[in-house]
Amino acid sequence: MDFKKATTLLIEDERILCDMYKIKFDISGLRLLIANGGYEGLAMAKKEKPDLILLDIKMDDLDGFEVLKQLKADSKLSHVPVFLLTNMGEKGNAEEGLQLGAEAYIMKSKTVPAEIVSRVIARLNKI
Amino acid sequence: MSSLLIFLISINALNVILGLMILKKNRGSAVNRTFSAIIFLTVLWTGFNYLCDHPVLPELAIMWNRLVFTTAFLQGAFLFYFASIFPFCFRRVVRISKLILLPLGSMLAIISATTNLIVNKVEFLDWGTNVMPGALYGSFIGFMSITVIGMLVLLIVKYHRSKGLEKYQLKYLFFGFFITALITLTTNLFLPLITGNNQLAMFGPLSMVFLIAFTVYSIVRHRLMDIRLVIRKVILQILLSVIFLTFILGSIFAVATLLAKRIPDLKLVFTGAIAMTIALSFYNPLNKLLEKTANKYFFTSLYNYQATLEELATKLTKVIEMPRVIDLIVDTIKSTMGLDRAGVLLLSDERNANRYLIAKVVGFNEQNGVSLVRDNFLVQWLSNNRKMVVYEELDWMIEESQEDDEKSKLMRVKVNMKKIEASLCVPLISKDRIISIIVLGNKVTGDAYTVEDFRLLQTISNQAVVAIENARLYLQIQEFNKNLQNRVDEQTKEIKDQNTHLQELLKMKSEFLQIASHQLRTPLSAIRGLLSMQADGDFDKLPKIEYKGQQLKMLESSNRLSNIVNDLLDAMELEGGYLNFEFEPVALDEMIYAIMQELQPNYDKKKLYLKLVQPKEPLPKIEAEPKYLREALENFIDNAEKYTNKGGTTITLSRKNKHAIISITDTGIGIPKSDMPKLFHKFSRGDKSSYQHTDGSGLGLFIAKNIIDEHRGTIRLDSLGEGKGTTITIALPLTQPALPKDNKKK
Repeated sequence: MDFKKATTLLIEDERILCDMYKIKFDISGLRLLIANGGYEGLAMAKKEKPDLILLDIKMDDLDGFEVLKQLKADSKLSHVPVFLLTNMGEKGNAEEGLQLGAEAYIMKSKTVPAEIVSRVIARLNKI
Repeated sequence: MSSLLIFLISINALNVILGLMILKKNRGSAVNRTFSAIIFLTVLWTGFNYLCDHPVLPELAIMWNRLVFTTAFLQGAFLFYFASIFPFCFRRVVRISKLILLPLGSMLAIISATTNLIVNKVEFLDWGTNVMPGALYGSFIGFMSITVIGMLVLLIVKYHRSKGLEKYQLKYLFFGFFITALITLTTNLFLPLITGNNQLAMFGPLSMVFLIAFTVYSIVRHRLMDIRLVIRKVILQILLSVIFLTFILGSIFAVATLLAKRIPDLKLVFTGAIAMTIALSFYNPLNKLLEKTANKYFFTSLYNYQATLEELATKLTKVIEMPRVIDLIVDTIKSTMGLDRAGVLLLSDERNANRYLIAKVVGFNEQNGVSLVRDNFLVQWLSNNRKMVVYEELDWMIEESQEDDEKSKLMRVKVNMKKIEASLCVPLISKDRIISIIVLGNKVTGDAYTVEDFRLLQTISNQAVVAIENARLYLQIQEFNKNLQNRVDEQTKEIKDQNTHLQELLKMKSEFLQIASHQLRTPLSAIRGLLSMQADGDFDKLPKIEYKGQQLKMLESSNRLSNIVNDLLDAMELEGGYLNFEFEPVALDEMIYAIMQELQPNYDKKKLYLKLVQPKEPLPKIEAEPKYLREALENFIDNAEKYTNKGGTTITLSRKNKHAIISITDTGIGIPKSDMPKLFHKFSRGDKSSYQHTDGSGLGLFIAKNIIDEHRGTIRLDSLGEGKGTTITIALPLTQPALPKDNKKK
């Protein structure tokens, strides 16, 4: 699949980070939608049918794991690959996320935006 | 009467005594029964043997002869049986003996007694009667050889297999049997066979003396069939009889020959001497019987006391609980002596020899008893003198005493005893101190106490001391056990509590680490991400204004990171006590105004009010560390805003005695009661708050609390519950105690 035609949804409630990733994705020619929080994320996923979802775990309104569960429970969305994009320690959380159906566990502090973009592109190319 | 007959009679008399004693010692034992049977059969055999040669009626001679053989058959069977079961059983041999030899012997015995198959005829010769063998005479020879030799073989085998005492018993028993069997078999079996006459048959019975001698020796020395004591008694009795007999005879002869100058009638002398000796042997039992009877009528008490003491001693060994020991002592004394009152007092305080408690009183007026157990003169007197006090004796003791002081003391004792209605007081002394006092009333019969009574009481009190001491120790051990259990329970609970506390702390710590690491990483990832993009030249393509915006975001994130790092370091330093507090006069209202000014924009954003209510009389400056106090107060006021969505925050300043009071009241989400205790702990946040404002490090309140503590101030949290706002009340002392510089906290 041509990544330039694909849509990626970022579910993240940290405003600074949202803005940062938005700029990077725009520059890289990727279409990025942003949802500020869990509930908004779920609603947008249903409406926009993204090709890939980047999901934060620690959000004030709805926990990322909960969002992931609902995404996987939805027959129309369950096939969409989900990358967990978080600053929570990997211990225990990565395991739980992968078990719930996430494809990757990316630590924000250890991964610069460029790397994230290339991982997203690599994954989209496979679709 | 021939000497042979006398000898035979004596041997048989001894034999009968021996047989009876062995039987009496243990009637249930097969060994004892069998041995007795052998002895009685031997007695019969000896008798029949004698009758054979000295038949009163010649026509009975054949019957005596046949009976000799009858008893011989039975003897043989029983000897073998005895050897098979003594001192331990050879099972197979016992079976052979029971199934073959005993029935066979009995059958042959019957045949011998009733038919002419063994003894056909007897011929009268000048020395007695001679046996003419019958058709089955051979069976006698065979049976006797087998049984007697078999018995000796069994005894030898068993001798080799046994140890210790049994070995000795077997040795002597064997010699006895062996010598007797050797002589008897020779004179009564082989010689008649060879010579054709049984002239020497009388020596068989005589040889029994060896069996008796060895058996008795074995019994006496080696506890054979355990009738040593009886045998010893009998031997003593016989010795005594012999000595008496000799003495009586000697004196009669001496008197007769020296004084009367003629030899006395021997028959009369012997008869008299023997009668006297027999009478003497009754001396001991008769004496005892008379003594008993006499005691029964003349000293009623003496008779009962012996039994009482034994009974009490036996019972006391079986009880260990103090109440039961006391019951036994009181009841025994009261009932045995027939008293109207009896009681026991126990030492109640180990350290005070004059403190007693009533353990049990029967028949006493308890109120009077109580007066005794208090620091009473009588008790003191008993403690000092440690002797039994008898009311009746006090009168003459008073009369006899020389000193006035002594006299008055005795008078007081008398008064005291009368008051509590006691006739007798017995102190029980253990290890040089009184542990108990027995208090007694009068005899129901009105009799006076006798010397026997005192002796009994002395003995009982000795037993009672031991029993009471034991019961005391038992009680102490029980008490000790109980205390120990309580201590163990207490400490277990403490450890459990500590464990729970530690687990809570651990949980909080891991929660904190989760939050803290997240809080540190979020600004870090923004800074790093933005810088990497800048390095990549991503921002070059952005309009200048947007580029500037991204740079501001880097700065904002750095500030956030720095705040969190500082919080963490502050918390660590506060906990370790490394902060340097320099107190100086601070105007609280000014400081609060400054904080309000700084926080006002945040309040404005959420459309919340923030106001300060000043006291009527202005507060004086307080001694405080301005930097840290400001940090703490800012934290509280900032928190109030964070957790409030509607309304606002009111800060009220007031003074109470030597403290300045700052109340911060918000209209926010409030704090559930369950969260309150842990709110000021490190790393803790209210449960509700975790999803609301994740910016905080979770250390704010902990740091603030520590700062207030350093000021010797207090913090109180009040909340009516969730959604009903919170009031934080901080009390700060107006002045700080002056500390020498070098004593300051490092």
